[in-house]
Amino acid sequence: MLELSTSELLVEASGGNSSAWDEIVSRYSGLVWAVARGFALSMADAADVSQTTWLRLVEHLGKLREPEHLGGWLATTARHECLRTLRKNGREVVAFDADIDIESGEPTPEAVVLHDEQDRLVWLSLGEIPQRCQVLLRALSSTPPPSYDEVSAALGMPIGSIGPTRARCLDHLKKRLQAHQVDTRQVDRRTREGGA
Amino acid sequence: MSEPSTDPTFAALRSVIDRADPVPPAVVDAARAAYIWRTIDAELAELTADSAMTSAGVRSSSAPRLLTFEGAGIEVEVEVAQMGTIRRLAGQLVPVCAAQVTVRWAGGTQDAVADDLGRFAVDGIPSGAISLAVLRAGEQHPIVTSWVSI
Repeated sequence: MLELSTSELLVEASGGNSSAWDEIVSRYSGLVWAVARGFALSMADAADVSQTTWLRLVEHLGKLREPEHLGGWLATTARHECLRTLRKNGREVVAFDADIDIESGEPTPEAVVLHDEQDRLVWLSLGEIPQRCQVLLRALSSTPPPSYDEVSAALGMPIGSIGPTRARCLDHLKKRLQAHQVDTRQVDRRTREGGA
Repeated sequence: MSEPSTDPTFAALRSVIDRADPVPPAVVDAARAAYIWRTIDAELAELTADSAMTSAGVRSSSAPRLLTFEGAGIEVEVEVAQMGTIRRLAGQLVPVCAAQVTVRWAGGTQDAVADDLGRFAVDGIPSGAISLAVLRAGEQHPIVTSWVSI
């Protein structure tokens, strides 16, 4: 299964091969989760978005127009489901295209368990940058690394805008990290040394 | 333009996300399990309208949500009422016809009967992703609706 292309996996899965389905899930569950959490959905809502996205793929198995762009299809579907969930909850992403930082008091990614103060501040900083940047940086951070095509679908943004937007988003993040006096070289070094 | 992996800020962020918010195993398990809902002999009625997406501004949470599914020569209109984490569905089939309606969700199914005027109601559905399977009187194969989170 590992050596098959996504198009081949889709053919196998629509023919009843559940191992092919499992491989598709392995390749893309990280991206779908990253999109849902990038929109600052709660764990429960993100789990719902993920489940709905995968069920949508089940119903469209064998019907995708561009099976080679499966990752982009999943990212687009997840983004639409996030917007649906936000509206259903009475929340809107009105400033999705705006390049402004999230003000304190706005929803931020749900609190997570981080024992290290520096890590905690990196996580906090992520929640303070524009929503679009959170989706972008979360998508880019997903495992395995997504293609620009997939990241573009996650944001509903042209591929050509991803590079410049990524640079701007990292600048936003760096400013927030500076405000919290985080030295990212320390975080990065500990990671490479295998400690946490 | 440096690649994101070589930027120390991005590397630090990625490392924190990996540790702080990995995909929960239950979410991966649910994604794998979604495959059991693969249907080979059912036609699809896709979600074509959702009042949650079209009504302007913030909706009253008490107002029922309206979903419309269309395809395979049928329209399924569903009104979703919300009581905590429980949902009540009231539906209408167009063109009107009697049918067996099955509400499907990750943890189970519930059957209902649409009367001769195509009306049906189902109570006690948990929040989350659901799909309806509609078997019209005299037909061999059901029509299934798109999955939607309610």
